[in-house]
Amino acid sequence: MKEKTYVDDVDRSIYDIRNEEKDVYRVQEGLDASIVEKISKEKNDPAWMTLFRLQSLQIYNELKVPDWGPSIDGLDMSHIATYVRPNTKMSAKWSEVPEDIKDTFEKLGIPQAERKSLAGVGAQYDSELVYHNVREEVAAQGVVYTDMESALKGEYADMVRKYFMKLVRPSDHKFAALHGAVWSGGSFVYVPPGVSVEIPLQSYFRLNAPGAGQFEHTLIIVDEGADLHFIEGCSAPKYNVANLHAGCVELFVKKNARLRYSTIENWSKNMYNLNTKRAMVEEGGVMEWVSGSFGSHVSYLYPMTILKGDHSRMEFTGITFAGKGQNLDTGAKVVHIGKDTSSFIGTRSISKDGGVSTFRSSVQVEKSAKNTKSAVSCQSLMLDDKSRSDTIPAMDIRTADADIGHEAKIGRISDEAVFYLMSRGLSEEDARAMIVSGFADNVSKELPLEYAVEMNNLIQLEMKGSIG
Amino acid sequence: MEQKIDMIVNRLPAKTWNRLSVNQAEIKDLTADGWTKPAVTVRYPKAEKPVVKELTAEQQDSLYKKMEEIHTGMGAEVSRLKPEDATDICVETAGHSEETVPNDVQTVLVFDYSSQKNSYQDVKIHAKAGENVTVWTVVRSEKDAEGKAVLRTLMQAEENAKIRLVQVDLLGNRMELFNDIGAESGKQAQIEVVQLFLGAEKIWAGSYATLTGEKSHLQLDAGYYREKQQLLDMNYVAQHIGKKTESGMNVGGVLQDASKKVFRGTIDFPLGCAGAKGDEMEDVLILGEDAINQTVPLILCAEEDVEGNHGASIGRPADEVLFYLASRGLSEEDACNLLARAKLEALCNRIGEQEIAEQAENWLLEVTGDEA
Repeated sequence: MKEKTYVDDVDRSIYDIRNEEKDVYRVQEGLDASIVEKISKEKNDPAWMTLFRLQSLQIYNELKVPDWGPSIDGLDMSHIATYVRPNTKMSAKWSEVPEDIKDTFEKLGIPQAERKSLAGVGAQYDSELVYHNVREEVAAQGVVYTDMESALKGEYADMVRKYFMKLVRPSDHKFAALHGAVWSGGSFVYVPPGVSVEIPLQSYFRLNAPGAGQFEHTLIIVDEGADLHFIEGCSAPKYNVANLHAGCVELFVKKNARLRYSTIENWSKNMYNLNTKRAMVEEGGVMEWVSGSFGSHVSYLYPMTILKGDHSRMEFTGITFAGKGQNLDTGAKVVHIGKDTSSFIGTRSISKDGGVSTFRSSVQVEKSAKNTKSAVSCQSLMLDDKSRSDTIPAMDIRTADADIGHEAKIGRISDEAVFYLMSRGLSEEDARAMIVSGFADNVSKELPLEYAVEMNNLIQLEMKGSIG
Repeated sequence: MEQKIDMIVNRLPAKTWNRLSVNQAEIKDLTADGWTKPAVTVRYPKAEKPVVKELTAEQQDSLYKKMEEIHTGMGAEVSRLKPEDATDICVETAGHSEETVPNDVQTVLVFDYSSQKNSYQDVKIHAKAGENVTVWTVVRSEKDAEGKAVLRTLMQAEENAKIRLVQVDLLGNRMELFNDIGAESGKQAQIEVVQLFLGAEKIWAGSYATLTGEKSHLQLDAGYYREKQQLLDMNYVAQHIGKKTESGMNVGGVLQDASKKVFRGTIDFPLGCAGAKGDEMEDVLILGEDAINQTVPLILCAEEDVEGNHGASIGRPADEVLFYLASRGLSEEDACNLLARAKLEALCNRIGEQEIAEQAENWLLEVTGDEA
């Protein structure tokens, strides 16, 4: 009889730091028009935004909860506080950030990463940003990187109004509508034509408050011929009440521009992560997604790319690691509209210790998308027989002039591969550990070195047991 | 007043986004009354015959009655259309003793749906332990016949038995076909299904194989040719219950004009099917400018020790292939027709019964043209 390989849970001690709530402003739990109006007033929204929020709330009330994904029965909106503001203002200096909040970000390594390898950082704590800064030389190129609230009211107000929730409309699904009603925080990025931002920008979202929701909005416009790498990180300490994350990311990649959007998501295991990300790519544009999903209790996460312009292309590289108590439903969507467009979706998923991992995708090729090329490859690894791994891809092809490929594999660690590595001198434990690490390589090799190290730390896998 | 019913069939075993409209197929405004049975012709290609009986529900023994519990790909709703006085065609191997040779028998069932508007037929196939049975079912009608044709086939293969089911659809272009299959396999049993969908304006097809017995095996190969506004909506499932069970599903075909095809293919590995292997492959040649292809190939897995693979290749012929054929003097249209025919002729060759194979090949020649 084979002894089961045991893979340890991700070490979450760093992420589980909890700060006591001090002098925070917290709206009452639940969701109704008075709460939405209160948030809007607190944030000093322009009138159109208040109206937008209320219309979104109406849509939210009309839409049903999805009937196709993991259960979200444990999420009770009447027990979620949709707005929690820390008792501080946004600063461009870490020294001005309250000590406990600063300590948390220090432990998460954000200021250090900023010094070493980032062009700018935004740090959100609960519903508001507490720190935002961009390097002078990057700002001098005309790159705008600011918080959404400032953008909404300042110089870029018209631009924000033009693009805000035009790609992800509140009517798309219930949680997009929820986002429209109670959104707060997030970042606005504008990269002018022809500007190449050499090192990445990063936003980090930290949800500290128990029983709260985080609804940050990220809006990025990469203008013609420009180039940007944006990194998003998120985490929260674990509580025994449900937390909710329903962020929204809207990305506009203009003609011949390129955007890489990397995410390392490590929410706590009481989190419902119902996030929506979407990109619109114009002629010759390139959208690259790198996505690592490790945390949360339940995730619905499928970044979507609309290849509107001719010759535009997208690539999605993702890994999902579902452990005990997790049901992570992740994947990607692409819609081909322009001619000569191409897409590649490559994912890996690992299920262990009762975790449920579902890969879900859709490839839609419209009639106009002549000479489309698309390939989807998903591989799933089952580490024990308590877990579950499902693959649910869909393809909808409406042109004769397309070349569409799809492949999926599911299985366990191959005995032959272990045997081969053992014949090269590795112990069985090391061999299995190496295979699992190698399995995650598709994402780690796409990340900047510092983040690849962070991700590898995140899936620090201790392999025990074995002789079969 | 004529009573109408709506049916939901071909439910995807795990739902996905509703906006894709692939979670299920809805058939609206079906006439509920007046369903009858098609004319049937039975013949035996060789001297060894199975036992073939036409039995009402009351006349069936407990085994046949229990076969009603077998899951089918389209789902239980299809049987709502079954007339109360229906008779099922029950095909069974005779069984053998230790002193006698196991039976290896064949029969051809031709169902003619020309004369009636809506006709329903159930076929039950039972292969006793260690025995083989091959059943060909041909559904046909006059070219201008109109109506709905239901053919539901339930199969039970006992230990070490083999059932080979070959289905050929030669219905007229105004007919609608509901072709549903349910199969269950005993230890080391084998089920082989070959299907060719050539006729009918609209087809809903399902197949659900429950591989219960250890080391039992399913091989399903289906081909289709769709043109004009024709529809084919499929839901095929291989559920691995027994250890070391194996399944292979290959589905391929041609979409011309503004035809539409939906293929849902699922390999299901529930907990306990250790050592199971499932492979699924789809190959679609899209030749019509307005054709629509939807493919949803699922792998559901709750068992660690399994291997599941699926692949899909969808699109027009490769430029290199067209270039080569052009260099041999073929126009693009002729080359496409040749490729379409070649894709389905491979399945015609697997029909294994000369008369039916010729009918299928003639049909193919007619729709793809024989100039190439």
